[in-house]
Amino acid sequence: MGLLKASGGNFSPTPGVEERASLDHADPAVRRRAVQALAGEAGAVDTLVAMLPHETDNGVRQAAFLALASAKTAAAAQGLAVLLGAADPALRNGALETLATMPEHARDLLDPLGRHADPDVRIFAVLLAGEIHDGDIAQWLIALAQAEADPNVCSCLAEALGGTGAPGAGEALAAIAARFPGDPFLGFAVDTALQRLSEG
Amino acid sequence: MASPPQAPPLHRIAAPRISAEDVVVFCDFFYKKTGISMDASRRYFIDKRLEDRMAANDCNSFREYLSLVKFQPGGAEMQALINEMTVNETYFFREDYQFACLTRRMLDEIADRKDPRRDRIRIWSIPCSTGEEPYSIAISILEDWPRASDFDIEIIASDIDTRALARAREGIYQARALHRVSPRIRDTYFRKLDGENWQVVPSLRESIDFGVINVSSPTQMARMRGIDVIFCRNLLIYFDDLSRRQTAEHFFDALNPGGFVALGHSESMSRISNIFVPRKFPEALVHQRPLP
Repeated sequence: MGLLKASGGNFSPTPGVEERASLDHADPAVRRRAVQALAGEAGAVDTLVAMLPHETDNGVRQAAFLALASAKTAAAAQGLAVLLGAADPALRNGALETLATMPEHARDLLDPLGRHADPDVRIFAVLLAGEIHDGDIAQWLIALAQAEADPNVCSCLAEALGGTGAPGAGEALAAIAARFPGDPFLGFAVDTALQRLSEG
Repeated sequence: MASPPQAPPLHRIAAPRISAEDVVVFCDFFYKKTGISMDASRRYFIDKRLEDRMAANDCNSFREYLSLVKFQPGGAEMQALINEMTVNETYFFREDYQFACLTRRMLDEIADRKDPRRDRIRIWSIPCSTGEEPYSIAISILEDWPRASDFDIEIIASDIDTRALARAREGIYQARALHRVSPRIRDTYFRKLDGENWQVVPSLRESIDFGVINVSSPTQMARMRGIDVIFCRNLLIYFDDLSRRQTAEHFFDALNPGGFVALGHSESMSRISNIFVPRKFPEALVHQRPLP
């Protein structure tokens, strides 16, 4: 007992005797392997996006999100955007984090997400915009702030606008405050954002 | 009759020029091969090492050298390039609060789920560099974990740099690498070679399984399974977000349920992936693969 003598065997290739992995197997470890085996295959994106809402194990989900992040395609981004409307917060957050890793595709999704009927999806659109370091993002946020009617989305917009330092952000914040004159929280959020803007 | 010795070619006099575009191409290539994100702004560091490798291979242009690295059968030059580009400066008992956490907390939790007659405890040091970390782990266990003699304990140590691994297996260190080693520990686990150098005793050297693993190779990473503790300190800082996430996923698969990952003090798993559960012990914050 105690420290073993090194065998050198840890670095030798081992022949695969893996059980055939299936996405609907009862064991999450097997489902995780099935997800990993899909990576890079044609049609994998559709399969992953379809299985994610039904998958409850975080390890399997994370493998699926990583496979989508690695795919880095417009189709993967589209599929992830659909998941932003899911009821499960962990699923929505995972989709948002993964979308943020592919800004080149996520950028094109901001407009439809910003017009989505569900305010929660619009909030995710604003959060996603905050993850995309692109000069046009501030203008997109300003345009969204002109007409957004949901106070929770506006609160999120105020925070995002406060970090842009863009010309026009102050006017957009003032417009939000004017739209909700009786909402003390939004008033506070706008004041804080204006303060950040003034501090540069 | 032997030929008179010839002067070596004067490579250093006319070092091939490397352009800013070459550096960008190189950084992209190196990232794809290793997962390591080189900062193209570190021109001196990159140029110097590339020039050395180009000169060693008699390449007159960066394009010629890149072709060699990409297409050489066996990949010997790719390995030499990796050896040049990686940093191996470390010392014994660096960030030793994590070793205290290992011997006071993590190993007991792991041992409680194992049968000492049947199950091994497996610890993986990646990247192990020139060996200071895996030897420090081994010494910590032998010195500070009271149940060490109850279990078979396997320490696996890997690095992408074969030159560092050769030094690790040799186990010879200058005194400055041992500045945090007490005289008692030094005299127990090292032998003095000369005024400046000490060598790890053979029994300890032979107990560590050293080998090459490229973190960005799924095939190589898939060989590691059934690990109980992974020490991966100050490696992920060189990776971009996607490579970090991929590595975290590989570690998850390598670990037994309930196994731990220890990262460097400036690295945060919560910013990489939520696949692990943070465990805040008095000595250190580590990351655990959830138990079923």
